[in-house]
Amino acid sequence: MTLANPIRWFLDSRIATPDRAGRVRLAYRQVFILPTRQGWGFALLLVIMLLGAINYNNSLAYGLTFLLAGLGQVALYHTYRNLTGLEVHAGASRDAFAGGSAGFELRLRNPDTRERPAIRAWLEADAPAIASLPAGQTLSLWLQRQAPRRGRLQAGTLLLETRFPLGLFRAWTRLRLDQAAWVYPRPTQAPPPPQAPRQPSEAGDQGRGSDDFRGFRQFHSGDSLRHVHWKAVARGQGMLTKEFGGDRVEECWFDWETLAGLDAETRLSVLCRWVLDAAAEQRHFGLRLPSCRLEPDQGPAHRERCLRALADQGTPP
Amino acid sequence: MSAATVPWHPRRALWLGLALMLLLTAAPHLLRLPLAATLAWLLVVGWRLNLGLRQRPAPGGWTRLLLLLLATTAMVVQFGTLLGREAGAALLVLLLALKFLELRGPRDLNLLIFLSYFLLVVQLLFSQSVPTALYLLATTLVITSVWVAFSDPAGSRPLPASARLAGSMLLQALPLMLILFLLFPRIPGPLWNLPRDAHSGVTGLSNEMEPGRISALAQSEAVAFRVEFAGEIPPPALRYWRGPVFEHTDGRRWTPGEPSREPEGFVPLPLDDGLVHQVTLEPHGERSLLALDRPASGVPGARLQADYQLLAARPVRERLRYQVTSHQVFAAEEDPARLARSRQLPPGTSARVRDLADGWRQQATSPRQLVGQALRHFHEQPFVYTLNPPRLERDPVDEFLFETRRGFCEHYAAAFTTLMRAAGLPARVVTGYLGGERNPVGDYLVVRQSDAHAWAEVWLEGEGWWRVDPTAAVAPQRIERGIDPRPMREGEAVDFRLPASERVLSGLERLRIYQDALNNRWNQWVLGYGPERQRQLLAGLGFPDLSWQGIARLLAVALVLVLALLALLILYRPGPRPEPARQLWDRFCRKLARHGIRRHGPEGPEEFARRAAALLPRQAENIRAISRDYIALRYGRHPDAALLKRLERGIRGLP
Repeated sequence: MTLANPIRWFLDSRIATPDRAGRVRLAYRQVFILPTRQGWGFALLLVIMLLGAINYNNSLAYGLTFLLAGLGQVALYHTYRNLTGLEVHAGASRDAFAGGSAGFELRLRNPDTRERPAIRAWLEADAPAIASLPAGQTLSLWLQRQAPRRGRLQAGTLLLETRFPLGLFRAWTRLRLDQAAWVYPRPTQAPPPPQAPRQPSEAGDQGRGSDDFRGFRQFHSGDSLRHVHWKAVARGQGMLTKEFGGDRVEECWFDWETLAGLDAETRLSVLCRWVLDAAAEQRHFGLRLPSCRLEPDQGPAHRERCLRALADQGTPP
Repeated sequence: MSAATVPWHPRRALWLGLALMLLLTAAPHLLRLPLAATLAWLLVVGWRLNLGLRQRPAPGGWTRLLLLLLATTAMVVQFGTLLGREAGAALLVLLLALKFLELRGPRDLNLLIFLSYFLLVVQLLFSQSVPTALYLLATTLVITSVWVAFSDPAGSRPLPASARLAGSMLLQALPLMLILFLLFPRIPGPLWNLPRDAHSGVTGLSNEMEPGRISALAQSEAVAFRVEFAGEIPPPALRYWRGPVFEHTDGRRWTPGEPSREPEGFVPLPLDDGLVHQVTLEPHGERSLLALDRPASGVPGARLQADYQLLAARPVRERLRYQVTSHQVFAAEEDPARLARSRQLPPGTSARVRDLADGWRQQATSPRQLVGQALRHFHEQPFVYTLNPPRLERDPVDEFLFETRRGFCEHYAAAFTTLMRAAGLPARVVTGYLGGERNPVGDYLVVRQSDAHAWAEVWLEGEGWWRVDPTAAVAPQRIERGIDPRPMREGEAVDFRLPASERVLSGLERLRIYQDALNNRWNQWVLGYGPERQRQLLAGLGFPDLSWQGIARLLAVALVLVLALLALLILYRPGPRPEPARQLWDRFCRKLARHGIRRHGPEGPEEFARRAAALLPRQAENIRAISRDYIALRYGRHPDAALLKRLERGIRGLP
């Protein structure tokens, strides 16, 4: 490979990697700079101007040509300076469903006393985000990356580029930050209903809910006032709280095994749909997969745990 | 990722800045164009500006194509061509407006910027004066500012900040420009043929003379040339500057006569010391090189003719600087054929003229007396020296001598020469300039077109050519003073101006003296900077006789140095310096490292000191003190100068 493409090898050898704190400070050797197409156009303009100055033996035309040549050279330094010394931190990441796009947070810190305008950042094959960094400040950018397949998605190579101030040169650097996001299975649109996922609790009087009236008990502080038996209060029987409960406080299990007959990815898609629906309805649910078992629970953290378990199930395609 | 898909809507301020930039760039060119073209240009630019301010798109392709065709047709009708300096510049200015009209995004904008820079260079083909240079420099700043302002794809650059950045970038570019300007090998001469109108609009003496030619020229205050003398400036009576010499006449027109026969130049025989002077001649489109009457030394690339006229190899199209030595006395030798030619009279010479000359010849005992009689005639008869003489019809010399008696120097010179020839003396007409005003600031003479003059030379056997100025017999002040070239009534006598040294100058006149001195410096050192000046400069820097390869090497070395300095200046970013205690501690660690004691990664100062003390028992006390002081300084609450001093002493005490 090195022999086949030495330039590629050279560039790869200079990809910056972060320190332990997940930070990269762009050193001179990591920033490349080359003229852009406008840069070559400007060079052509200067050559034409110089030929004119020589031909007409025009002293001031020489002067103006040389001034613009100097300007181009100075622009090179300014463009280079706009990128070197920048500090890049990997930030958070945002999980995605397969077919969507994952987000990766990038924190750019400008340690200088000078503004760094027009810095573009993007992950491979994606639209760039453009940022201007005021002096001494940190800016957070969210970069998107297509997540076509379930599993763990690495952020990949990050490109940082600037053409400021004149667009004659392009300074860029390639970084590999250790950033990854989970890609959940794509939820099916019309899932089969969960087959006997309900396991009615054997003791219907255990647990509390809000559906079936069960009886009264003494009011404790913290009980909802809506459940106070106000008629009894009016009769002078003191504060009593109505108790509800029963079978609705159920634990449903979404089980890999109940989906036998479907291929693995479809099973995961269906499970994903169930998890999403159950979480949307704020139900208690547990998840049973060949590799793991998540006890019934509810809430966003549980939902995320379940989705990540689905993302990590088996060998991602 | 492609910018074209993103709608491109610059802010109002940017649109206005862009329009200002276009106006400043095009203004000097528009002033040369017909009014209709200027109005059309403003209309197109105003139209697009209005659309832009309202965030509307550029007009369609057909509209633009139609406008381009219209503009090109108008150019061809106006100039008859699309090539050449004038037409080319006009076309570029119109293209600038049309490009602005189709402005759609960053790529068009870049082209617009490049075209603007190019138009600045084109303007330099028309004028290189100091004000032009300042104007173009300011415009360069504006163009660069607009460029910077548009360079952020987010489009959020404010104009003042962009102007500041552009200004500092141009300042940083200045040293590079200077080095390239001074050391870039200058190649003389054009690389290809210049268009015919490359140097139009120059005036000066022409190589033939007829009544009215010189008086027309003398109404211009334009500078003809400037002269510096190695020693003292000669007195006004000697400030005759020799130009074209005329031997042949048809009665009205004077022409040089037959070309010189001498194949390899003519060798003059001067008999006095000579006066060395440096002339900086403004371009006048003819070949003659002006010099103090009469030049004797050759100028490189020019030829001295036997009539003491210096002729350049090519018409003078650019400002030219040369050194000449002139003499007053020459050996009295002349080619007989030339003397014969100098007696030529047109066949139509009138009887009145012949009779007048014959009368003088019979009375005079010597040629000198003859000349004296003629001058007395001009002095005593009611002749008037005027810039606006009556028109002469059939026989100018006769009509002037006997009827109108009003004329400018060319009338007197022509009439006097004709009379001398009629009296049998070889005589010829010399044109050039008389006078010149000293600029006290720069200590040089300025000779203007209003100093244009014509006089005569008479051959005296045994004495040589003798300069006779018949105008002086009519208006003796002319020798000492310049004329006032204001427009006059027909036949009105010329007014003279006191030399600047003899009158109280108004503030404006004094300003003009400084301005001319500045112009002269500018011409000599900036505009006239060429191979010769480059050699002078390098010799002054201690590099005499460098070949162009040598100059290129020098340029390369100087460029590398300046580039390195610029890179340092722009890229250097001072990092935060560690606090003083930390610096001392680092020095301590370096010292111990020389003894082979290195800090392990996570080892704290105390542990490290303990280990070091054990390894260097002789320094144990010192090391412990150092570590104690360092910890106190680093983690203590207050900075303590005495403690810092002690720490430094302790570390210095280590071997």
